[in-house]
Amino acid sequence: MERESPRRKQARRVVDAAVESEVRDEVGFHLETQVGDLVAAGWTPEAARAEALRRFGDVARVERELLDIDKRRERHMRRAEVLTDLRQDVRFALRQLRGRPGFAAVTVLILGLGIGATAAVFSVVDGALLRPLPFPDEERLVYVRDVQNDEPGYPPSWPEYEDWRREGEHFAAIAAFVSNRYTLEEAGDPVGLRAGLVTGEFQRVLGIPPLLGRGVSPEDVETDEHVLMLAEGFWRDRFAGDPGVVGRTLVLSGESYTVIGVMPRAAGVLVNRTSLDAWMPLVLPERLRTRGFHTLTVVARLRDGLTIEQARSRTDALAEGLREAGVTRHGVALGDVREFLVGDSRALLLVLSGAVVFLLLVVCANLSNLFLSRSAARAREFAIRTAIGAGRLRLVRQLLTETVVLGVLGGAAGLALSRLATGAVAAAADRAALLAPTSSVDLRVVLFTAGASLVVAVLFGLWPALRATRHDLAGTLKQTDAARAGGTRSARRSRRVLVAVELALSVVLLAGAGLMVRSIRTLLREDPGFRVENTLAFDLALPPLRYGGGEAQVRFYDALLERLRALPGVRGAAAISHLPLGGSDTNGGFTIIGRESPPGEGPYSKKRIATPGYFETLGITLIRGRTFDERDRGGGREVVVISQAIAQKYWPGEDPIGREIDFGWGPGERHVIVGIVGDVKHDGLDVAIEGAIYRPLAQFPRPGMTVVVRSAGDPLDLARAARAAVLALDPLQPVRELTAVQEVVRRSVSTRSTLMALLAGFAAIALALAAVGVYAVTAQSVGQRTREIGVRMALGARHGDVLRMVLREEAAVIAAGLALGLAGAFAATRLLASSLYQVSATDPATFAAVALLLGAVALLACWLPARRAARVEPTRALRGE
Amino acid sequence: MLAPSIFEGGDSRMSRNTGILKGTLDLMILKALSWGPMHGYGVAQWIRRVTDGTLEIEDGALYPALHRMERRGWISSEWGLSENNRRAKFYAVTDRGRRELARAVSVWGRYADAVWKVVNATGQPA
Repeated sequence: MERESPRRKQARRVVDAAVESEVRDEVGFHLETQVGDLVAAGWTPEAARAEALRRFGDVARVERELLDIDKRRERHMRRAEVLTDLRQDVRFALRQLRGRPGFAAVTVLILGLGIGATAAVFSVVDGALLRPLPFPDEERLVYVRDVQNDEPGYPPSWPEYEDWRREGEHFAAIAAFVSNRYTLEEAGDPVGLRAGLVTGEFQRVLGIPPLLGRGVSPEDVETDEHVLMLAEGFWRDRFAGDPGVVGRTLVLSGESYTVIGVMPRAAGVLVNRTSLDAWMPLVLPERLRTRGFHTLTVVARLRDGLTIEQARSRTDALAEGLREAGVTRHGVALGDVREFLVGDSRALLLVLSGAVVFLLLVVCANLSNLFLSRSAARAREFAIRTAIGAGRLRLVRQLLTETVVLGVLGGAAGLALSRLATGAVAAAADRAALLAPTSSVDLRVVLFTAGASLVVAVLFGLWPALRATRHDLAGTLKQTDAARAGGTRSARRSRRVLVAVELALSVVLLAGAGLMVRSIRTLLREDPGFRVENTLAFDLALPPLRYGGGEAQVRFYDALLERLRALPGVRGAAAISHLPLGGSDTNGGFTIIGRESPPGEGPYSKKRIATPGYFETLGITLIRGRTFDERDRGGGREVVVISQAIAQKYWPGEDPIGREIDFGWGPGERHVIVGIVGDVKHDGLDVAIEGAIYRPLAQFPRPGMTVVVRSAGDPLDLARAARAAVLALDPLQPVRELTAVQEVVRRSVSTRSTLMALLAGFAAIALALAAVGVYAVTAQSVGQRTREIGVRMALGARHGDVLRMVLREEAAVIAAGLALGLAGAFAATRLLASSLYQVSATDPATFAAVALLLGAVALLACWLPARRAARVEPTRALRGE
Repeated sequence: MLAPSIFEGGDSRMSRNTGILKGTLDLMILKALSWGPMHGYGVAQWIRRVTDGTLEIEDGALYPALHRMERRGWISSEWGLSENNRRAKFYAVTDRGRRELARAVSVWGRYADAVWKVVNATGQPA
């Protein structure tokens, strides 16, 4: 649809006036001829007139009707004309592009990169921030969390969940979740499974019915029914989406379970786990139902009509009531679902969005430059067309059609590329990635890409189009080709401005990338407190059926570790409940015997279970006392080992060895501290050390442990042997997550390093484009001044002088771009602050390095054509070739 | 298509019923132009003459019909000089218009036959 410009409106009025006068002429002719005939037949003129009008009918009404018909017809024809014009334009544009396939290919490629990156970032941002969550009524969904020592956000324990279920009338439904590992034993091929265990109201909290069958019910939980639901992804992958799977029996870790239904994918999003394969009723063993064991995720749905603020005040009242009744010392907090899922990622998403917009702007500026020079070359063609009557608007429209066609092609290429990039962007966005669209062709993303392509096409095409169709016919026709190719001085200036803008944007992107690179390097240099090289790790999850008593579990691990230690190349083997930097954790309060603490302020620590030899295997220093050994058996004296941080925090200036604590994972017990070990980084290389308390596996058995094996050489060489050792003890036991500990550490920084990779990628593309821009502008301006250079050289200038002259001019552009970019980077990198590690957002060393890099690349880019200019022979230049 | 209002009482002005008669009017116009181009006044006169004045169309009704038919592509128009050297808009039938005329005539014919059969029926209803 064309916009109505004033000229268009005037044209339309002229046409309408013509239509009106025609209608009047036609009707007037009829009436006059009728009158004439009547008069000729003998009527008087007045009577004839009256009769003519009578025979005609309501003249005004007829004229109005005719006008209506005719005007509409005019518009209809005009519209058809526009469409044919458009078809013509598109065909012409395609012909032009076919004539210069290289140019078209390069443009489409550059566009594809820019738009593809933008689409990828958009799809993740859209999923995280814009799109509604996959649950109905998401404002009424909350996480319910424990508040200890005034810090909210702790996972609750089972008794707390029960308290909330009992007292929380403002919850329409509340459910607890925990995950656990099982082995699916099928046809001799044991497969590791992760299952979500939920209480009976989970389906109601989720608000989405099962895809098939039924969900876990409160009765299932009460009677500990062996039922399970398959997760949607697992059902589609392993059972090919077969609806007949309901009712089948599966054997999980030695026990039979009946499949009762299929759980929709959104359930995994709700509990923030992507990799759940099944869902089962949550029946915690008795000994884990203590107030010290914090491991649940509790989600709830508020009653209709309650806002989250109202719910919060009622929850506070509930917590107060529980505290007054002496039931607990903790508080309760409600968390917003989207905030929980996305919260931390918001800053990251902002950074990514900003970076990709910059990239897109560089792409636009670059293409604009390209098109400016190209349309300058076609200036002659346009001058001639204008001379023979083509309107400027028409020419501009045609040029824009060319760019839009390229835009569409680039958009399609970008859409294809974005599918590859979305994975990377999602990885950089951390938790928010859960909300990214799962289907490969998502309508919102496609629409966005189409819109972005059009906007970009107009952005980079409009200015060149307007420039190319400027009126200076005589002048243009008279110019030589070379002069025309260079364009007028103002055209050169515009191109220089564009190049400066490209340089500036590239500086900002490079600065961001540089800061991230430094962060990652600093981060990876942090001492994690344990040995990272040459260590293998894998997970085991012993099925409770075959390893019912704690004794069986301890025996298994003892036997396994003995076998592993006997392998050639093994320097040590042990097991730990949670591998440092492995992503899992458990913590809770403990009591120091003989020391009273005010309620809510008791000692608190991470808790770990370890086998003898653990600290030695991972190279964790023993500071005082001893580590676990064979003395520490079940039934013997209960011992614990604490880390340095715990010792310093709770026994400053004293020796904690020999003191007793109650670990908190059972009814009142006393554990004596026998050793102090060095601290390790449990949660992340960038997270402050927190300390942990360790108990020996023999005194607190558990089925799931991570086994660590120190090797003399490459740890993965031991993989087969390790697996064989496990299978020799239990052929139905899958070895999970077998990796080198080095890889575990690397993965712990993966979010940041992916962000770094993306920013570096964007920066590299931008830099390349900016360099090409500098090269092109310099080449053009040099080409235009060939004659001048020839004169100068004929008058005695040397190569060096010419070179310096050209460089000096271009250097101004580069300097301007750098300055602008550094200023911009100064302002923009603050957004990265939360992702940086021990690097200031305005770190001068990084900025200096970026400026140097860009300056060097840009100078090289303009040195090349300048050098060529300086080599030109003066005589040839003077002759104007 | 409905019957012409020959049976309408009084002066059989079709002005009140132009909606019903649009189809018939189009048919008559196409026929009028089938011998050659004519201006609107000429078409009106011809229809009046040929129907012996029985069908007195309001002349005004003719022109919207002409313009609509032109838009449909059944007739085309051109400005020219009338017999008395006045500027007039002449209409001519197109190929599409001729095909439409043939079709309408056959439909009319079948309708008229059917009605005549009813009117001339000798058998009493059972």
